[in-house]
Parts: sequence; structure tokens; C-alpha cells
Amino acid sequence: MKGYIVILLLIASTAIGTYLFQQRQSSTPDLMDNLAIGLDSIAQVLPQSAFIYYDTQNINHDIFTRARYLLAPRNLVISKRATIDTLLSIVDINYYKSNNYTTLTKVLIDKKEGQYHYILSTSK
Amino acid sequence: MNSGTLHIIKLWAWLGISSILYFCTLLLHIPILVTTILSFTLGLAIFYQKQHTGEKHSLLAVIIAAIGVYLLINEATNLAEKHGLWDAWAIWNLHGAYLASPINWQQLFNNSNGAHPDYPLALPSLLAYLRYIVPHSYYWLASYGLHLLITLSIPIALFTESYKKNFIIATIGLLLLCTNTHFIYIGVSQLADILLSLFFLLAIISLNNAKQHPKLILLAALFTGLCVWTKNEGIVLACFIVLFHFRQFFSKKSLKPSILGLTMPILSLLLFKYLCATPNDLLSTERQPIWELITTASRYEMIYDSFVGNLNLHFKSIQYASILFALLAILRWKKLQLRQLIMIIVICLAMMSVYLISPHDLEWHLATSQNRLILQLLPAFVYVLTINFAELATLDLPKGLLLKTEPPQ
Repeated sequence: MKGYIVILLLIASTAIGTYLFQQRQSSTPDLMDNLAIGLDSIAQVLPQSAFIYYDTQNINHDIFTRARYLLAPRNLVISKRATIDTLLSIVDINYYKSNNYTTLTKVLIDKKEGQYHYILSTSK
Repeated sequence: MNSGTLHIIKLWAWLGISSILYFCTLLLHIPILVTTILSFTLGLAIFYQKQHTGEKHSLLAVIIAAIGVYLLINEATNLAEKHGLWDAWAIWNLHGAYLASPINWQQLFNNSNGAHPDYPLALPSLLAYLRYIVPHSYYWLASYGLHLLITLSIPIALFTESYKKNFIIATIGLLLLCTNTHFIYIGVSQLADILLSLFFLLAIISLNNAKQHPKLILLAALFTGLCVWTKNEGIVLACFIVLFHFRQFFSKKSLKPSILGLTMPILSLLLFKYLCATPNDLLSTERQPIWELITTASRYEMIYDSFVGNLNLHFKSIQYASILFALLAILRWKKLQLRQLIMIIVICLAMMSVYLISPHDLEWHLATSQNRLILQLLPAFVYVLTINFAELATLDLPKGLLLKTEPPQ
């Protein structure tokens, strides 16, 4: 087989395959998409160097991991309850669950010790 | 060597080197534009090298390859998850997202909770590169597209490389991969295992053709190095590739290209491990004394049972092909090239032995990774089986058992 035909075959089939996949997926938003909607406004406000703390007691490992991906290159850090308490708010992951993950919009900022800390919180 | 295979080799050599260049961009604070120009210049230099294969074009081969591609894409579209499997967003796409930020990329190494920041950067670098090209809302699609390209490259490389030897057997090899649900599912689940298996396959193909085309030893060495630059398991693969092909890599004639090919990815990995990465969890996690672990009989039993279970569940057709090959090989084993088959089996044993000393819960560790370790070796295994079956077909076996066929022109 000619080399250029093989490369053409690979590129064309990748393009077609990707298009078909997009068509199949675009109408069905999943958990990640819903979470992304909630995190989008946070991502716009926070600088890329932000550290975002997450409560260990209410942690849902799956959501934590997804949120960390969506907020990268910001750092999403699991923090001990005590640390969170000394800051501002407790994150209740169950709240996001019951609200389809769309209300995760508010960012609380603390200036303790001259550093900015960001805690994910709900708008309630 | 078939011109089609050579082009696939060139494509992935270029992309592999581009991933290293991208890492250098971050490390040395070089503007992305400079790296992109360098990468494209390199691409042009690689693809514009003249070659005289003198081969005839086979329309039937193109049609068969297209059928294989159709089967694979059809299955991939149905099986793939939008954002890939857990490891996709917890590790590989996450690393890609960090690396896409030239200023804050080192924040990746602050993630100690299940993000494995010690994993090599071949795939994340390519994903980060894509983030410059694709709009934000299509990152997920770009990652899928890249993995689909990797997954497609494997059966096509196998087919183009072997169909001149025996058309029917090459077609069976192609279909074995293009209809293997697990291979396709893991392939498009946006994990690095499929890239590692591609580099491993291309290293073996390059080595097999290096006698006729001595320049390929450089690419064989490069792909061996790229295994190391893709996943930590790649270190095991690379060690055994070098060990089993030591004379080929380090003969007087091929010493320089081999060292050149190996140096770039291995040097990148060393820089990465020394300057950036955190310790590997398998090495740094506290565990029982190793002696205690390796003398526990139940661990061997668990690993074996899980291995057989995975073969039965995901690779049934390849199991049948292996049994058939073993039966036929008994007749003519002296005339076969079994070195690479033995190499893959030894690598498999070496990889399984890592589970023996795993500090994690063994049941969980096996359930979450063993099927992917097997998959890393699968394409190379199918390729080696294919060329050996083709070799068997040239011998005087009973008529009708395996037909020697030439591709129709």
C-alpha cells in the first residue's frame, strides 16, 4: 500500500470517527458536563494559580476528581475539616448532588495570613 | 518494508518527538511558537525523505484495511464514554490540562491524591498541544480523536506490515484486533496504555525490518525510548526489548543510531523524574516485607486466576489463535522466529511479578490494572503471531491447512 494512502486512510477515518462520536454524545450531557456548568463561573473568576480547598468529611471522591480535572491548572486540595473551619465554609457535596451540580457558583475568599484561599461553596 | 507501515512509523516518530519538544518548551520556558516551528520542520524532514520501496499498489489491501477501520470505528462510537474512563480525567487528561498552562504547569506535582504526578508525559504533552489548537468546549473531543488515531494505527500497521507475507493471515490479524471489543474500548477510553502498546509494536516492527533498512534501527531505538516516556511500565518493556535485541542495537554499525534514538526520550524521562516528579506510589508506599509477600502462595494463585479470567473474558479469540499456533509450531518450531514471542512472554511474567510485591490491596490492584497490562502487550503479540503464522504457511505443511497467498494486484 502506498504510504500516502495509509496516512489519508488514518486521518480521514479519525475525522469521520470523531465526528460520529460527537454526534452521538453532544445531545447527552453527562455528570462531567453538568459539573462543568457549575464550575465554569468559578474557573472564570479564579486565577490559574489558585489553591481550592475541599472538605474531607463531605468528600465524594468521584466529584472531587472530576472537579479537579475541570479546574486544572488550579489546584484542588483535600483539606482537613479543621483547616476548612478556620477558613470560611464547609462544602456539602450532597447539596450538589441534589441540585444536579448546577449551583456551584459562589467563591469565598479568605485573606488569612496574607494568602488568598478559595473554597468551593454553594450559592445558598 | 511496506511504504504504508513506514509512514505510520514516521507519523508516530514525529508525534513522539513533538511530545518531548513540548516538555522541553515548558522546562526551558521556550515560547510555544518556536517549538511548533521546530516540530513542523522536523515533520517535514521526516516525511520528505525519499524512499524506493518499488512496491505495487494493492487495491484489495486498501479495501480490507478500510473494512477493518469501519468495524473499529463503529464499535468505538458505541463503546466510548464521553470523557473516558476514571484514569482519563483523574490522570492523563488532568496532566494534559496542567501542561497546557506554560506558567502554572508545575502545580501538577502538588496533587498527591490519586493523580499520580510521577507518570511520564508523552500522552499529556500531546494532549496539551491539542489544547492550543482546539476550542475549550471541544477538549473532550480532541482527546477522543487522538486516542482513536492511536487505536486505528495499531491494526493498520500490523496489516500493512504483514499482508505481503500472507494476505489471508494478515487479514485475520487485522480482524482479530478490529473486532476485539476490549481492545477498542480501552483504546478509546483516553488512557496511555494504548499509546504504549503502539510504541511497543512499532519498536518490534522497526527491529524486524532493520536488517533490510539499517536506518530503522534509529527509529526502533526511538520507539523503545518512547515506551519509557509514556508509562512507568514502559521501563520494563524497554529493558527487555534492549536485552532481547542487544546485538542488533549495539553492533558496531548500529551503535550510534541506537544511542541517539534512545537518548532523547530517556533523557527527558530522567529530567522529568529528577526535576519534577514525586516518588512512585508502588515504591514509596509502606508495605509488608518483600520476602513475606513473595512467599505467600495465595498471591500467586490470585494473580494467575485473575490473568486467566481476563484472558477468558476479553481475549478469547486471541487465546484460540495462540493455541492453534502452538499446535502448528510443534511441527516446525526450529524454523520459526520465536525470540520475540519469548520476549513478550517474559515481559508478561515480569509485569505480573510486580503484583507480587504490590503494596496495595491485591484484589483491587489486579481488578483495576491487569487487563490493561495484558492489552499493552496484545498488539505486539498478535503481530508476532501473524508473521510466524505467515512463516508457517511457507513451509510444507499439509495442503489446505494454511494457504500461501499473494495479494491480488
